[in-house]
Amino acid sequence: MKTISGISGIRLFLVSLLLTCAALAIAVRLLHIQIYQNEEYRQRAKAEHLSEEVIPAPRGVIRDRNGYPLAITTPGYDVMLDINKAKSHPLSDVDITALSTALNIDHNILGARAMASKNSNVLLAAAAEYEIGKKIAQAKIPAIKLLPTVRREYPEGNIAATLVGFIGRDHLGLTGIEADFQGEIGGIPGKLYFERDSLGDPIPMGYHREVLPRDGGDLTLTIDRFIQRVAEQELDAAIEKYKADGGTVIVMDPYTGELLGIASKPSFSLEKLDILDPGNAELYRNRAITDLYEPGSTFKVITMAAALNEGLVNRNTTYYDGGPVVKYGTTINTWNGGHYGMQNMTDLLVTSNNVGASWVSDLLGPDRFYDYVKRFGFGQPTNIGLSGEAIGQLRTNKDSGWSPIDLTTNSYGQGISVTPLQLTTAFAAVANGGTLMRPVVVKKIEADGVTRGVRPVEVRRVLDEKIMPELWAMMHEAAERGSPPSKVAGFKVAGKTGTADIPSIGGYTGGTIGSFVGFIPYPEPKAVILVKIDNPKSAPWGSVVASPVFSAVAKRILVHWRVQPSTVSPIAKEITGRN
Amino acid sequence: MNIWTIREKKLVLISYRPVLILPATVLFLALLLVVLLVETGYVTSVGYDIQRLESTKRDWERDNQLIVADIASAASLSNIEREAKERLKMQVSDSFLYVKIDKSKNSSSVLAHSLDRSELSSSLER
Repeated sequence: MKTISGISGIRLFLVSLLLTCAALAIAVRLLHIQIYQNEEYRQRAKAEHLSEEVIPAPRGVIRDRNGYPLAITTPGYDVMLDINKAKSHPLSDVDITALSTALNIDHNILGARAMASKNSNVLLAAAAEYEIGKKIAQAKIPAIKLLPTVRREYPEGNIAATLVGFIGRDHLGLTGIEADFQGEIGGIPGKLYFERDSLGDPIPMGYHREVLPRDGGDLTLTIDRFIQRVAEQELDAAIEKYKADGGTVIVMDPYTGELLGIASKPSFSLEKLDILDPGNAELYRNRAITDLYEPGSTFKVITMAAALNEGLVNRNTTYYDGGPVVKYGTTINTWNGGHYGMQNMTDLLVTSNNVGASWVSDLLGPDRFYDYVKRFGFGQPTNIGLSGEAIGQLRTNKDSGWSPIDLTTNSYGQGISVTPLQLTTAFAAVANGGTLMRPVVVKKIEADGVTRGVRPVEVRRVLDEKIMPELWAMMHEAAERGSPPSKVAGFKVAGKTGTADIPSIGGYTGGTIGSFVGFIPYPEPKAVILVKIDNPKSAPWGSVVASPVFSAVAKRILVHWRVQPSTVSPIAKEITGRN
Repeated sequence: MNIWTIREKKLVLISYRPVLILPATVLFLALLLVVLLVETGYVTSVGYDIQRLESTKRDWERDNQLIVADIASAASLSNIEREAKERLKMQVSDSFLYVKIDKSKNSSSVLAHSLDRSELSSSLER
């Protein structure tokens, strides 16, 4: 008995010990969970019941200089497949048909999207129109969930597409103004916290907290929608007519540096954008600021302006063009092989004489020539404030690899590369009386009730105002007497054509870039217009392909501005006589 | 009433206290629950009203944004051009006539400028 009771006592002791250990283990585990892992479990419980949704911030409006919206934000819906509900109420074929009709998405594509995942919600359509979203909501398809979002719309259509740019699905700007001014116009997204039931639906009287989004600021550009549209229409017509690869038209206010229009093609459609297509990437850049080209004979105006400013020549100064000249082993000839004997500076520009331009550059010498080239802003950024701006390629006599022949070729715009914006800015300095202005594209930013205006910035004085009448008169004659002349009916213009070969590695491609840069009207400039046509197939010359575009754009702008014509036509005199 | 009477009443009340406490407490709790129920109902109702009003406000804001977008589209250059051509049957003109009238001289002086002689002539002939 003693032994048995001893065994029982041991067993009882062991059982008690086991139970005590188990109880202790449970206590320790509870202690661990409730004290040491308290925060982790609290978060897990919170995540189980609390849901968090991002409320996209309404993106600011991008307007033209007169307040007309170019890009605005409207409400929309992301159409989602709720995977939890789809398990109990799968999408039927009728549902998919109804959705594909409402969303204008192919039935099979939509069906494939719906089957894309079995574990997480599926985005069937991003940023669907608000009215479409409401119709889908009315259809009450259990597995379909609509999340409020915002859409970017473009009331003026595709104008200024490369300038305005576009946003991604995360509502962040990806290109153009949308990307460069993301901080100003993007706003700050809000958040919605709510308690949800087992199906993920909000519990009506459960926890609910909303952090409101902060609206993005509004941006007013210097662009005039009418001028922008005119520039794009005329550019498109020219590209089609001359079978060109692309082109650029820039219209600038010479006194403020404000861009009134900036068109570059090829471009893309803001309304039918497919950012997933890698083939479109080439179309997104704003070629007016990113692409370099040799300015060709338009650069002779820069050379002539420098020589006039230095007092080395005047419009009647003559030199002798006796034929091709050989300089440093290179033959310098005129564009058409024609030579003119004794020729003055005005005729040099009218005939666009390379031999004459090289003669002028010799008068200037490399130090003064490159000083002016730099003062005009070549080889440096214009600081317009848009990303991707190229600075150009300029090799001066201070740089290694420079040779004296560079001075000669640079004088007529070869061996130097510029952006269309740089050349427009330089011509604006000529048109406004000699001051280089910083080009601007944003006029004002309005955010949180505060308006910040962008004022014109004078970069530096390049030319003396006194030489302007002479230089403008020479440019006027170059336009009027060019071959063919660049005229705008009823108005006087001033400008210069240019034709340059397209460089490639180790030489030239054989194609050309035809251009015209000038101002309207002469002698009271109101706008500088640059036209550049890339690789036209039907005619290579700037005077043939770019000059008519300049005339067409200039005429429509002057009529739009109600500028009184400077010339009186016979029929007008006839009407005057009648009265 | 003398002092003895008061003492008697107090004694009577004291003697009934244990019996009254329970129903009084139950009654009080019941009343409290009713008040809480009414309050909760009221809060719920107001909560729903607030949610409904917030939802209506959001709908109006969205409608407002859509109206702004519609106005912008209606005022767009492409729409104006389309309306002018299709509804008003207007045509794009390539010729323009500017007439400057000097009002100070009793409108005797009129200066006209035209941009395109040939097209202007043909339009005058018509």
